[in-house]
Amino acid sequence: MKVAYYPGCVAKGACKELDLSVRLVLERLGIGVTELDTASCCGAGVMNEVKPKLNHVLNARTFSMAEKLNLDLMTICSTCYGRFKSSNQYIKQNLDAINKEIKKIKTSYNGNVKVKHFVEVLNDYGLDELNKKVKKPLRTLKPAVVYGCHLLRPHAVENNIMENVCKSLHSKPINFESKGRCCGFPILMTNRKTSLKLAGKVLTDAIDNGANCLVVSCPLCHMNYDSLQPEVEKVLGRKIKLPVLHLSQLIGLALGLTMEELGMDKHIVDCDKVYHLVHL
Amino acid sequence: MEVIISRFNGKKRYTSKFNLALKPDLTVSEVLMLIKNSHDGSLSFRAGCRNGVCGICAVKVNNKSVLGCKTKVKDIVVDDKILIEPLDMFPVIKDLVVDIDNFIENNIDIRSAIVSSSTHKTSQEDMRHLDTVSNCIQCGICFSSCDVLNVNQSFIGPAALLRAYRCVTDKRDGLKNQRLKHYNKENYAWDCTHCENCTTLCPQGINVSEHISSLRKELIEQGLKSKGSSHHLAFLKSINKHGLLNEASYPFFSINFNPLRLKEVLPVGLRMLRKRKSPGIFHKPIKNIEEVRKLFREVKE
Repeated sequence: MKVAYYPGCVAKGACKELDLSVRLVLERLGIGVTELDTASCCGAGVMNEVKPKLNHVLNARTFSMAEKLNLDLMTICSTCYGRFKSSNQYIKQNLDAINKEIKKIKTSYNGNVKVKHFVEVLNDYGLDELNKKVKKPLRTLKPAVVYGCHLLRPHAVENNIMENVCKSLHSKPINFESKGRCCGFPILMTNRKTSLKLAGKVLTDAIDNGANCLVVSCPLCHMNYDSLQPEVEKVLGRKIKLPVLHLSQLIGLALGLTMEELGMDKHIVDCDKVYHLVHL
Repeated sequence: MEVIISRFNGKKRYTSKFNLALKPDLTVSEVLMLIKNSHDGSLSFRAGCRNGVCGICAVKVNNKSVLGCKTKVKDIVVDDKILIEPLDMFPVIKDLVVDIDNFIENNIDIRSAIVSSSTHKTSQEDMRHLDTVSNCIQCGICFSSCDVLNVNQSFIGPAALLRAYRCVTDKRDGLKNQRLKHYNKENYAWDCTHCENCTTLCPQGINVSEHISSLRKELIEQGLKSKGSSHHLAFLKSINKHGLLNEASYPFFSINFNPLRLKEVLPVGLRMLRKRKSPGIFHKPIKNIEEVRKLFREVKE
């Protein structure tokens, strides 16, 4: 099994631990990756509000790379997933017009690429197979999983796919109304207070329902929930201190990898508590 | 089948349960009428056209906001149960009847009627566009399920922004500039996070979120300044330069190096630096960046 790996901006910038842990986990599972290291930003729901056509054209350039490799394109970010899915749909309906533009950089795209999120690649790999690789069952962990809007809307992944992965690692995902809620990150620079309140709503809902960590499928969510958690605490006037893990880190823990290997020592909210729970 | 209804009598909330043998093809509105006619005459709910046109029968069923008259029981039942509740975000008057005054008054705030000032002749193409953005039936489902409204009730909400976009793009309207200035303010166009609950739940199938994006595009094209436009322009500049976003420098460009806003970016930046999590300041462009820059130059829209 092999995928064309699109890390995106955040996993190469402010969430390097995500790129690190995804690579390690895929290696341990024997899933091959070819990184699309010349690909550009997906547009993140920003570029389409300034230059929508340019956004599609740049994405067609990225898709053409995966198409040439004849591989599915794997993203590790819910936002990239949503943008790519929508863009791919648009491009397929306007193949000629888009190809006319990318011809200028001597490339072409036939609309044959499938966009998949990391969690879908794991699902294709097989959760039973994943379960067989578990060295350290996560029985003591009660994660609250959040999907990030764009794994659910406008294109939805399989129902409960994140929870199913968690269960295959023997953790017990909590029942949690906020799993599909917005983290607020997209408006952090425009309406900071609302953005932080949105993150706070999810974090407190997770704690109030008995979660001992939050697990995210999107590095943008991770920024609001982890890097900005001290600000969220201030806005809410309530202590939170909830560790926030990337899905790949949760899997890495179950595969027996260490905190440092998975980059969990880089998080703003201390993850020691989670590690100790697993290694009781 | 067990039908559980959230009730309110003006003083307290309670639930009523009914065990009914229901034909699976019945709509939620038909079930409510059946209960009112045969089991409990005191039940209050709204039902109008019963044909998906008037938008008055919206309720929450098994945690999803829907039009009662367009939703069949068989499509929404879980474990032989349906839980019917009033829409979120609206004050409840009685049982499933909610007070929609504030939601409707948002139409006054955004001046939802066009003010004709020209003799512009509307083309077929104009009309096709106006058709797609005018299909809102004011059911309030998007308003009740908006994640932003849930934490900030001052936000004008998706339905009003859709209407705003419709008015801005109606060539007969003479208020475009005033309108855009108004929609550029805090709690209007720039406060949507694109969680896309509105798009996913809209019973009319309107891509509300995308139209809000188009409204923002109008604001930027008119050169109106805001935190949002400055963020968006800094974002594109960074992609043009690096291919991927330079997360170390773009926040500073996004706030236009405004000293009053440094407190938004500095503490988190330093905190990340301490954990060696911060992205490098010297950000090398991606390989083949020239291709990206060329497309930036060539593709104008």
